[in-house]
Amino acid sequence: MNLAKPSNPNNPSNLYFTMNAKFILSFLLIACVAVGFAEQPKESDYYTITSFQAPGDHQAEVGGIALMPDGKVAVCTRRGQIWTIDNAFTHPEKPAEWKVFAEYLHEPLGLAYKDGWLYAVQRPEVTRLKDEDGDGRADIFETLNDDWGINGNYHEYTFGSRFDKDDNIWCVLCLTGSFTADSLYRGWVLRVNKDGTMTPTACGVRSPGGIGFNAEGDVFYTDNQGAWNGSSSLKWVKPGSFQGNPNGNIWFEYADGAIGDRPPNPNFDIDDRIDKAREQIPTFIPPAVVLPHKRVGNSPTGIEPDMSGGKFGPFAGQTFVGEQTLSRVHRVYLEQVNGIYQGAMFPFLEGFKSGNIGLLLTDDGVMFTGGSNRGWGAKGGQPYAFERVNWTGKTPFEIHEMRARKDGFELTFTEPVDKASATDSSFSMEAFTYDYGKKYGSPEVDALAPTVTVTSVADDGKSIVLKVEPMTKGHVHALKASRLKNQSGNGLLHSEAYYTLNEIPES
Amino acid sequence: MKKLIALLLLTSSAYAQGNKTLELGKQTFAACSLCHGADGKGAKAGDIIMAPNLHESAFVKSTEAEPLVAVILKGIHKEDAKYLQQMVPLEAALNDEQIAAVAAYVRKEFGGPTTVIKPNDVKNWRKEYKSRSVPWKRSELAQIVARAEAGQMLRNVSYAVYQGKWSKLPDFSTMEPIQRGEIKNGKITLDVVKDLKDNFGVIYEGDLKIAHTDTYEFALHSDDGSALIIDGENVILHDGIHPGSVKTGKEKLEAGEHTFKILYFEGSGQQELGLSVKAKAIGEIALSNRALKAGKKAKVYPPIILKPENGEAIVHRAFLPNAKPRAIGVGYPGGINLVWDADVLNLAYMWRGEFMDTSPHWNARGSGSKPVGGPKVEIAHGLPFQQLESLDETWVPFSEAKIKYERDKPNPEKEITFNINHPDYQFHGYRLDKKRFPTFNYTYQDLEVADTFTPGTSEGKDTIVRTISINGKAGENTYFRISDLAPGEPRGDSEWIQIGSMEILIEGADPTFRNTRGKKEVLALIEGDSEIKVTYRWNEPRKTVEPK
Repeated sequence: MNLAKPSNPNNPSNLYFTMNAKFILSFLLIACVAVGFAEQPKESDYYTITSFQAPGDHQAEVGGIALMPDGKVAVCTRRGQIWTIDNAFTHPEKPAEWKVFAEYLHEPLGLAYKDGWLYAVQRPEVTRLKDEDGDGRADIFETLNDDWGINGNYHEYTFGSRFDKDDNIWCVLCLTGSFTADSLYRGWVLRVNKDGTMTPTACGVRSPGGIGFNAEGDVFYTDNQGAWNGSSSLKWVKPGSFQGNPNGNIWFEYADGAIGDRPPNPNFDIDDRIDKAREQIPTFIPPAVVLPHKRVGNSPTGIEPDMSGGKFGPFAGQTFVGEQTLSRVHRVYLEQVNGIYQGAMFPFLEGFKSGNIGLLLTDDGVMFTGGSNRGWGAKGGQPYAFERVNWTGKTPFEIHEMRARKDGFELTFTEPVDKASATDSSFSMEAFTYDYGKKYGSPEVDALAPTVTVTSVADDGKSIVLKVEPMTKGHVHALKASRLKNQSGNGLLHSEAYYTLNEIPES
Repeated sequence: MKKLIALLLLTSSAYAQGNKTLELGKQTFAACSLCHGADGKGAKAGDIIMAPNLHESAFVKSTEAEPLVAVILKGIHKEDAKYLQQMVPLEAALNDEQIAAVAAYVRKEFGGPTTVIKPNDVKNWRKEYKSRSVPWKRSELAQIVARAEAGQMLRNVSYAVYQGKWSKLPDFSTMEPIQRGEIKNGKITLDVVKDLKDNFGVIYEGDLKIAHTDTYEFALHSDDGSALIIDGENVILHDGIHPGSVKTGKEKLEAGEHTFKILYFEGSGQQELGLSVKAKAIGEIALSNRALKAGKKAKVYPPIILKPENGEAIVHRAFLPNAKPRAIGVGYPGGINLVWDADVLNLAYMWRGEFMDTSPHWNARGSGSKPVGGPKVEIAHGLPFQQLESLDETWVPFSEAKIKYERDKPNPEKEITFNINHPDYQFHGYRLDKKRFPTFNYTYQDLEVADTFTPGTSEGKDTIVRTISINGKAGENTYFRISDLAPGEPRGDSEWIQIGSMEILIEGADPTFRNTRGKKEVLALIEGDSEIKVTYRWNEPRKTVEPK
């Protein structure tokens, strides 16, 4: 249509255009004013996400990822395939080559390589696979251990870790349903050794999404919000521990004293607090880092420590955690206080294409993740994804660590702060906890608004000591540092941090 | 042209920013006035008017705003030449705020009620009519008016959630709910239990307001069981464990207040609940947040068939019917298939034709795959070896145990039965040969056993040759069970034994036939290192077309 064409006043449709020219001009003017704001730093300035496409119609719903000694990356999928991917580090410049290594396993959700074998944790067993005839496909599928139960319910997932230093794969077994443990060791963590033996290791699990290590080699798993889990969280699998959900504890009868006697039941009739329940149940290890439900995600998954020594940016020694629902990866700083792990969760990276489940961070500082949105929707929207994260070499302005002190927190930063912005008004805090009980999930309860004051700023500008009143044992302390600036005048890339204060340090 | 309308209206929105709603309505109406006239009486174009006189419009006059908004969103189908123009859909051109404003302005100026219309209401109607892609017919609009004026049908809706594992609707009245709440918008929804995955039930109840005496046809869709009760009478009973499906029920209802109750329970897997109602005066209305049409079929996923290719077998582990959870499906080239059950270290069944539909396993949360093709033949499912002190001792096919079910619920005395690995057996996995045919390996006591299957033909009939290699020394009176079906009468000196719908040939062992408490079985005594070969032969030629 041509606006300049003389309109025919008898043609009613032309009436629109004759009277509209001036409105259109004013609209264009308004649109022009809206551009030209200074660009704020964004996640992609520091970390880039590269997506892969599985060949043909294959849906690579990645449940586990392992690095092979030949530099290929192996992924196992919820559909039961294991793929080896060549050029995973160089794609798309040198395009990835996918090859089926094995099919079809039973919804494998853990993959590890050791001494010539690839180990897959399937629903019913830990299996080791080998390509003996050298055609690139596994021919040996050897059952390493299957000493646990499954009954046919989809909810009975089994997630597996890589090998620990004692050659164990740690398996975490989802309950039969949200509330039941109808098969042997449902709700337990088991260690399966390379020699085929199994050791029951911890109980109290509800619905895991992944299991892995921190940089010290201690084992953590993620558990989803639900019964006896007010919020999703990252939990420390201290051998012998009870993780909070009592329904799997019936299986102590079969554990032959591997982790001692059955712990006392929590109170079934009240909405308790974990902090109080710990006094009744000595083996109860509280969630190390609560990942506040709805605020930061709904479904945490894979766990990987940063062992790259700085090749993945400034977070060496910290731990990354996948998030399925919101298609993200979180960053976690962990410390031990009074012998209990606790720490802070920071947002790290969002914008993944499906619901992240598997996670790998190589010693060379390259992260891979992938997953699926099947059965549980994910923000990313695609049915499956396999993606790589590379550090661009630029350091984001972030809270590096958040450590608890007797009367507050010490924050360290990835670069010096602008001291003039390090004032009380740059910080605010909420504190809250959750009900501990048999109902499904919990609202945030016992909310407090602690006051935050700046005690000191380090000379180099890289750390700040905050005084927080009150410090509340058992509460998540949600910090917001929205007005803090670096020396270029930019705010933090992520200004929130969520510290779970299981213990208050003595100093 | 659509784009230009959009531009115009965005412009007026920006122009009116900060002014009152009616001012925005007036600005927005500027475009409408081209046809409807600034006075709302319809702009004249020669002898006819371009659009109806809004002062006489039933949609403008309606006590409810929904019909007018519905017209603005979707437009009206041109059924005659009474007016020169057609009411075009404006859903893409106007935002919620503009629609609320223009509807409010039109109602106020041209003789409609002056109740407030919120942009959020517009948003909800937009969502409700989202799937509609064509303008309204006037008859449908009459139903919308009737429906809107009748108001929300389900009112004062409350719900209560219960926990438990049932295969039929239980008597909820004897139970304590774990959660209660209200549903303000009168739409039945499973969102109230969206965090529960399995084994729960919900009761929804409240008032049912009927504006027009009529026969109402209700459609109740559920996975698993459900029931609809109106004024204390069962109108629909859709009980039991079943995939998503619809049941309908008709009820003549007088105008006025009634009560309703919906009972629902979920076992495991998919959970679905939907309710809709149909009547002449009001058309069809969704009473749940799932829009479900009466008679609509349950969701069936398009099949995803695994096919053996390149002369190689496919091994597929998934939950499979008629086998324990550690089942392993094997599809051989040529259309011969079997399930080997790693829970009991034995062949579960065989079939011919297509191999496996993985669509139920690979969709949603995954309930397991389904063998396709011909009928399944089961010869002796269950643990394969047993030491028998005498031939009167019965065979124990499954390893199960019981445990007191103490958990965070009442009734700790309940006992459950669960599968447990038999202490005499250990599964060791499988090896694939060049054609990717698996050999299953396991140990029984001191015996190492390898179980291999090779499809073939014998005398023109389909066969599977099974080789059971046994290494080690067997305990005293150790038997391998070949069949737990009654063998047929011997036929002459044929070595083939008729078993069920198959013939089998046993080599490498002398079969022991026994009849223990009415159960006829074929066993083989095992002493140690040996190889038993069992050929399974189908009697009938294959009926299904063999997949290429």
